[in-house]
Amino acid sequence: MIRPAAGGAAQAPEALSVVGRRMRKVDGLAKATGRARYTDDIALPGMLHGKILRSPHPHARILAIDTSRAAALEGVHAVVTGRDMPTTYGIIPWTPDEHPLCVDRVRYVGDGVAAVAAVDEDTANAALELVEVAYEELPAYLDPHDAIAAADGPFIHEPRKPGRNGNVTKVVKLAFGDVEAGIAAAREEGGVVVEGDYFFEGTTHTPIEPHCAIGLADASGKLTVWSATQVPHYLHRELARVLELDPAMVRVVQPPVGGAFGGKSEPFDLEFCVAKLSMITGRPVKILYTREEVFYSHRGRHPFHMRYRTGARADGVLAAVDAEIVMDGGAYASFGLVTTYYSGQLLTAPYQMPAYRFHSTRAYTNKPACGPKRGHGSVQPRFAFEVQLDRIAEALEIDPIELRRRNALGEGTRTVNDLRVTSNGFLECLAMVEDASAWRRKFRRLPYGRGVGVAGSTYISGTNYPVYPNDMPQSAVQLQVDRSGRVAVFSGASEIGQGVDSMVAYVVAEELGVPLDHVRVFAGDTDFTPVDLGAYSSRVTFMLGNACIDAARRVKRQVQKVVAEAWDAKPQEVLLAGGLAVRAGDTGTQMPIREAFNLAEAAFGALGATGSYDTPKDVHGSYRGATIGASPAYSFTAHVAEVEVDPETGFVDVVQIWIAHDCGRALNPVLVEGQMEGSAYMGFAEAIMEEQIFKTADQGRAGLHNAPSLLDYRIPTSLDTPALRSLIVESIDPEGPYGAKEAGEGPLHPSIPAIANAIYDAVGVRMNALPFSPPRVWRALQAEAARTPAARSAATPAAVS
Amino acid sequence: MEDFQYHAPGSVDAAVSLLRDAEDGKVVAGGMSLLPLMKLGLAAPGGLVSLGKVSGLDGIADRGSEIEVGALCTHAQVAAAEIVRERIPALAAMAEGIGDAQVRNRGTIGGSVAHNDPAADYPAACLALGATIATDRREIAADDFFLGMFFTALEEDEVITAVRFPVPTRAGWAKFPNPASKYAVAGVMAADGPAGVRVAVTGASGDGVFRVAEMEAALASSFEPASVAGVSVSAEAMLSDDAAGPEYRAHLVTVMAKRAVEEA
Amino acid sequence: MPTLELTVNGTQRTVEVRNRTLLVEMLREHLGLTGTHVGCDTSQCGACVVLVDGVSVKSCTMLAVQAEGAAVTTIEGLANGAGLHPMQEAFREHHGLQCGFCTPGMVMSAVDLANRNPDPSEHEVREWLEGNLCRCTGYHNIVKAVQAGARAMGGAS
Repeated sequence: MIRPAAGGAAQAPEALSVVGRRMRKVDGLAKATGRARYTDDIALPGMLHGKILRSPHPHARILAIDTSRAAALEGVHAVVTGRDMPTTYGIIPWTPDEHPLCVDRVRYVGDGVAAVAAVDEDTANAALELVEVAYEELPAYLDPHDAIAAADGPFIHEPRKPGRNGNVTKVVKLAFGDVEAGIAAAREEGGVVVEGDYFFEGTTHTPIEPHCAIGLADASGKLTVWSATQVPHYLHRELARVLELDPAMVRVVQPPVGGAFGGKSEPFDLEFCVAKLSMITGRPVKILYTREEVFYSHRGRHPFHMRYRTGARADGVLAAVDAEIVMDGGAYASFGLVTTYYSGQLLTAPYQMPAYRFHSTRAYTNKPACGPKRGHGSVQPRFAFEVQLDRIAEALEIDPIELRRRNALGEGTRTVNDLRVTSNGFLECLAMVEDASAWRRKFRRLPYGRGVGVAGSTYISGTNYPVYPNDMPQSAVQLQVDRSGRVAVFSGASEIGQGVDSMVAYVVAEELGVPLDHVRVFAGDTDFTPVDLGAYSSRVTFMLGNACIDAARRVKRQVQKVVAEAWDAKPQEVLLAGGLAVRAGDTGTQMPIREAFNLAEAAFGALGATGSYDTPKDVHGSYRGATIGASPAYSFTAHVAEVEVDPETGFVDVVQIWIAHDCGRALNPVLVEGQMEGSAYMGFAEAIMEEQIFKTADQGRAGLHNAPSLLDYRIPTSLDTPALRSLIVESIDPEGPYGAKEAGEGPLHPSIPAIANAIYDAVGVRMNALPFSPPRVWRALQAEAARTPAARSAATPAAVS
Repeated sequence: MEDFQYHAPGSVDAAVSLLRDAEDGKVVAGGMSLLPLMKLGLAAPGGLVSLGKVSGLDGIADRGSEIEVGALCTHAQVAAAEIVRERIPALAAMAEGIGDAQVRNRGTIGGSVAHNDPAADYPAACLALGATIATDRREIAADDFFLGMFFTALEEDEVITAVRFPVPTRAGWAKFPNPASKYAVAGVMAADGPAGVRVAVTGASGDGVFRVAEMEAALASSFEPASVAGVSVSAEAMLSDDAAGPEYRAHLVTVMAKRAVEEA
Repeated sequence: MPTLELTVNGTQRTVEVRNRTLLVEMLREHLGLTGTHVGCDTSQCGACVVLVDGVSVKSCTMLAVQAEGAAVTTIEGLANGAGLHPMQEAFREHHGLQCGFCTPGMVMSAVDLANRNPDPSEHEVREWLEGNLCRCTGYHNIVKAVQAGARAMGGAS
């Protein structure tokens, strides 16, 4: 059952006066002038500087830590170690396996061991050198297969239950329908079964702003932590729990965040350390990560080893999908329990699958912990699966866009794993990229070296359940109307650049008819905003947008009622728009919105409201794990990528990506396009150049990050980045705010397989391992040339009709 | 970064004497090579002698058979200079491809040459064109100047004043940059000039810039891309990092050499 | 400690720094000009770009003492009393910023380009901005903003 729209999705576009227009961001002025204050821009009187000592070993027991010499250094105010904060934490309550600082074991090169607070950074750094740590080295696991194979230990973590493998975070095996029967049917009925092994290399978020936090414990015992986080609420909870404080005595402030992409979506060591060091010293303490530390904190894309078996009937319709995935999780669980489910659960759209099975295992290794990076858990399988589809299309001689069309899931349905799908604009996405890219003129028709590829995907608009079980709303706002006509919105949501504060202002301006610049958004402070769970899983527009509508309409009803009485009209005849209250059908009857607000305040007392949103609970199956992957709505995307491959160097120039994305409704198309472009860029980056890799023992130091700097870790420049063409599809979701769904993560997914498929179209090699870096493509071309000496001269593969 | 003495003398002579007196002194011009190393703790000079206040070292002059580039000329200046663009376009193209705009605004030819980073571009241009490095006390042929990674013939207190490039009949530059650092994974200058036919390679070897005799011989008989297309260098001496392994780098040297000849 | 005299955003300043103080540290910590950001330790990201004597430089890779006597312009001084500099206006108008962290460096770098080339092509803009990393936008709107800003600057002068 689809619930009636909370957000008035049925409203016709012409009835909207703010939503849907191309508008500026509300924080653009502060950011363009350098006046936005990021965490590191804050300097408090008497502030100390903290630094964290990090492990040089990938895996070792801590035998002893002597901090006495460091503590004695002039200018040092406090030194803490793991024993000062012995409570474990973890973003997922079922897997609390981290300490703010290691207590008795280090698990990767870079794991935090001790922290100091000193008068300046130099003194803090000098003090770190005086901390003496005695380690006993332990065998290190760098490969997830090795870690899994060591079923009898030694383990990276003590097993949560006796007899379990302590090197495994989570195993998920789920099956829907009869996979073997589907595979057999595909074989027998003239169809095809394609098998492939794929490797997705780890990558990291690399926000331009490094993590930073400031702690201030005041005389009353109240703790304030400013942090560049995208989850102030979860940080609030964990700070209180780990530091054994009453949550009522903890305040988290989130200044503007200089990029996050999932990399700031759980508590980090620096937040606990600034808090503890301030509690000890009574002075504010700041820690700013070096860029090197940002690489160690990581929580980025998991390396995935994937095997897929995909069967299709002769007409291209999918018969069965079978997946086996080994995930390299790094040293801690992070969101890994969810990642393991997502690796399978989120593959079941936009295509219908009669039978599907996945078996995913997340292993611990002695490397920085992996976690959620934009497109959490589903970017890697999407790469493999969309390449599989390309191979099926080729084998069956069906155009790959047509193949995807034939398998499209449709709207108002359920997936094979019982996820409820409401709106679905996937077919329109396919049609748009097909037309815009001139696909029919290009596919299999371009000269050798040049090619096009297509891929599709889906993503969630938030998760149906919060990371800790509770029945409270997922998102809430508080709204307060001033006699001047100004509306203040107190929002717990996290502005990380995606434009959430702007979205709040658009929605409230739309509902209450006030000019955009009369909406003030106050956000990111747990002391005076209601809870929103954070900027993750593409949940904010959908959930917070609905909460804003809820709050605004409460006030609106009061205003309409009182103005209707004054005009002797019906409340629904009172329209609020353009700074006015206007009588429908009689525009001569109007009053400034301020007067309308004043009338309402006179009638009802101080004008304000709260609003909230919680997810519907009937949108998934009832099997164990069915809730993970469930979302109130799904976005859909299709990309076509065009590449030019230099066969001599293996360099892949991605010339252009056409991005069609179904975001439900674009509340502000400018911001939606920005999300689409940023997503496609980030997918392109992972496809072509990014890799978070570590040295092996043969290369000198096992587990040492190979390149923890922007000097070596390659992210694209303006010159590297392809032309990006955004094509918005609006399917108008019945439950989204005005029909909106997510736009910030879905459009990343297809970039990677679309580029892989385009490389095949260009030069006839299948790239099954990421990234498609020049040496790797060159080697693939060499191998292909050795296999088929004619390959290079086979300029244009036969066109598919 | 450790603190250090800092001097900004007004003349080369004063700079030399300050260097002589300094404990572990280093010359700094734009700082694009030295400051990153100091920030990483890979260099910790006791004293820095800045050439920022020394005048007369930032000119580019046409000396007939040679182009003289003052040591303080920035990469941006060399890339934009009409004289260079007309007479040694390969040198302008090379300067235009160094780092990024801000690096080119600050980084100088003198600094790049003195630093001799194994992946820097200027050493290849100097070697291929048979340049002469002029200092406060002598002139050093490029052949004798670059002695290995971060190692040159300069004495501790010696200051480069200019680099003179003989104008070649033809020369070409091709570089395959590391997408992160913009340093060369393999960069090749091929030149046919007063010093003969020369092919110099940067970025590829841990020993720094080197010449490829076999390519030079092939080009001397026929200065065509095809002449070098079949000539490979040994992978054994190649650098290996995550941008490129030794075999791929060796392959790139050949491809870049071919393209440099095409550009010439 | 050396005393340094220079002009910052049009105002003569005398600042006490150490020889090793980086220009960006002086701007942020000594002068409180926090609009100039630092995103890396290795001169790649370009968040710290400012103008020194009108030329864009990475202030994380320049010593404060090297700016002795120079005129430094930061994002805070760009508008020079006016509301917004045309390049700032263009970034705001064309959605050339999301998280905003790279924006000050991006804007300063773009102003240097526009001063040299009042009507840069898309390719020229992309080449020029190679030293300014953005992680949010995919550069698409930044390029549009720089082109529009450059044209507006030309029109304004």
